[in-house]
Amino acid sequence: MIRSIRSQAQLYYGSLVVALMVLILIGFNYYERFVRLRTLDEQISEQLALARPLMFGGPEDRRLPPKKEDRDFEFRRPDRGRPPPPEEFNIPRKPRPPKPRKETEASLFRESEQGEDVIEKLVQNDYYVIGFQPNREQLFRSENAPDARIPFAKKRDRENFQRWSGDYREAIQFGPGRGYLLVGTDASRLHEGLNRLMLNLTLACFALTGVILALGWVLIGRALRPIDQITKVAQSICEGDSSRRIDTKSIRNELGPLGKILNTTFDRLVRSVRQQIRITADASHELRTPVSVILADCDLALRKESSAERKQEALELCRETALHMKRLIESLTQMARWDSSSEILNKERCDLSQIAEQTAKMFTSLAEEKDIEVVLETMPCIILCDPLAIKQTLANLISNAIHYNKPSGKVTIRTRRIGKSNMVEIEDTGVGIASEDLPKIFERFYRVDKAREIEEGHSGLGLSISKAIVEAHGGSIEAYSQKGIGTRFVVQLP
Amino acid sequence: MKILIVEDNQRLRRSMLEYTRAEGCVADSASDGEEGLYKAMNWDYDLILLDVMMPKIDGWEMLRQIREQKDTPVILVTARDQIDDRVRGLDDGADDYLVKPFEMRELMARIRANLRRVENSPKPCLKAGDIVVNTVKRQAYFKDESVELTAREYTLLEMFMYKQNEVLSREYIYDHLFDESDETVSNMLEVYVYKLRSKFGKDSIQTRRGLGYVFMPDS
Repeated sequence: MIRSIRSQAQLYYGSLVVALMVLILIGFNYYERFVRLRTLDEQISEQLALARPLMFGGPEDRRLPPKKEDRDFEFRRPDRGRPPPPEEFNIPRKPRPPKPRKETEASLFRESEQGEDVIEKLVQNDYYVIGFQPNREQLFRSENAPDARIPFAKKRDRENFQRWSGDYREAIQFGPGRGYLLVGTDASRLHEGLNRLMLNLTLACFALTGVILALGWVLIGRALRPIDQITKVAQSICEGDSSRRIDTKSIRNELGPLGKILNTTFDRLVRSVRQQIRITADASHELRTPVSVILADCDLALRKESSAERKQEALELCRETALHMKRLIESLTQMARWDSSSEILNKERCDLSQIAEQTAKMFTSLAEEKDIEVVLETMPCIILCDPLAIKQTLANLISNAIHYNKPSGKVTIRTRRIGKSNMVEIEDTGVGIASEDLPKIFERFYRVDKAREIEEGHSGLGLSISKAIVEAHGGSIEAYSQKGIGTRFVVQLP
Repeated sequence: MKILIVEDNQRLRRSMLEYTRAEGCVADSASDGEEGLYKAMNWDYDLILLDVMMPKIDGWEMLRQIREQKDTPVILVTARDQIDDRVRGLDDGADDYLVKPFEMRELMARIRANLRRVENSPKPCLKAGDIVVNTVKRQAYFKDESVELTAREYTLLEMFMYKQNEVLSREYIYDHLFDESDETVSNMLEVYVYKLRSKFGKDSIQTRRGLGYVFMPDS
């Protein structure tokens, strides 16, 4: 399952989503905890301010730390990094009073009704208050204060600070020479609230992740649907159904062009396979008759009563037929070669008229033998082509023109340049080709006159090969004919 | 037996003709569909060997036209080896289908088999009274002894064996005994009948004046 792109993508971005969610949750948790703690601390400070008179007397200096000019002590944080110069120690800045001036005032207030009200109010608000003497002995405490409060570490002497003590949050204020005031509250409700919130949030995140993943699954599926289609089409082609193609119109992503390329590839493959099948079928068909001839001749020659002359004749026939088959096989190989690609062309610049003249020369003796006049009307046409292949094409056409000519007929070979294209025309005054045969003459093994096939050694592939060669050059070949008057082949080359 | 070979390839046609004649068939030939159809319609052949891909009229069309008028057995001899072609050929009324390249032995065996089927005697040995004819070996036996026969005599005997107790006209016998290339005088038939009578008993072949001959081996 993880092997599909869909699952892989889902896995990757799913992990991403989950990681992001976890990060958000953790971040939120810290932030929320921080905000809540600050609020709580502010609340405790307020309560501490309320409770201040219990320890430090009159409501007039409720605010702590007092303004600098009002302060009767130096409010200093311990300077840990840099100890003060020793001489400063020796200079007594202010003589410390031997006894806290307001202690009596504070204790009076504590024991007064007002003081009890303050404590009661604190307790009602779920706070507790404890007072310590400077020597850390407990001076007073509210009833709800947890037992055995260890006031604070010694190093935090002379400090105002907040601290955790188990589940309790406490604020401690230091009054020099007067002791410490501690106000605290049970903070477990804060945790509870936070935990509940985080639980709800986590559940919501889970649900959200689920929704995102499900949506992603659907969306990825939609985006990848073409792959499915491509696979199915490729499979059906693989299984032999060559008619199916990828529907590229419905694909809107980059798989569209891929689909088009694949369709083109499929088309070409199917065409080449069909061509191959046809060539094989044609070839086997064409080879069947000569093989039958050979078999029949051999069967005849092998009969007991057949004469020595008959045997000789049969052997000659077999040889001739075998030669015909050889020619056929050569033509087929050539055909397949030209069909397969145009890459085998050895192109070079050459003069078409010269090729035509050279080719025509090859047929001088044959033309004389058949009493046929070969006329050349050429003009120079420099083109880029494979001279041997073009020579073969022209030889084929000229040979046909001579073979299918009337006695004392004429074959005219013209080369011309019209615009960008070059033309070779081969015209004969021969028997012509009937109009119903004309479209078929370039087909493989198509013969206008069937009776002449073996006698003249024609494979029925000559024109097909010529066409394949011309088309490999990017040109075209056409035939025009009138029965009884003659035939004109026009080869156009770029 | 008289067969018609319709084949457009001249060499194959010649070889088939020679071979079947050497095997004792009376064989005519045609080089295209038109000629083949003309001969098939105007003479009574025992069997026609028909190529499919021919100029003018192809084998399919020829077969169709023959079947409109005649029941002559037809063996399609063709290079088309596709199952579709075979099915089409047989369904169009051909009796058999032989794919090129073939061996002449097989062709002959198929010709014989088709003839037996037509004559309703599936066994390769024909029996009539004391006469036994092995159509495969082309050998005749009279009273369990083999009888030396010339090819023509054998052909005539085989024809009589297939058509026992039937009156065969002189024209019919003549047609089935000599092919188109034979230039024999008409009284050759009497000579062959005389020879068969001398070898299988005088009464085996009876003359029906004005009608022809009847082969009655039991009498």
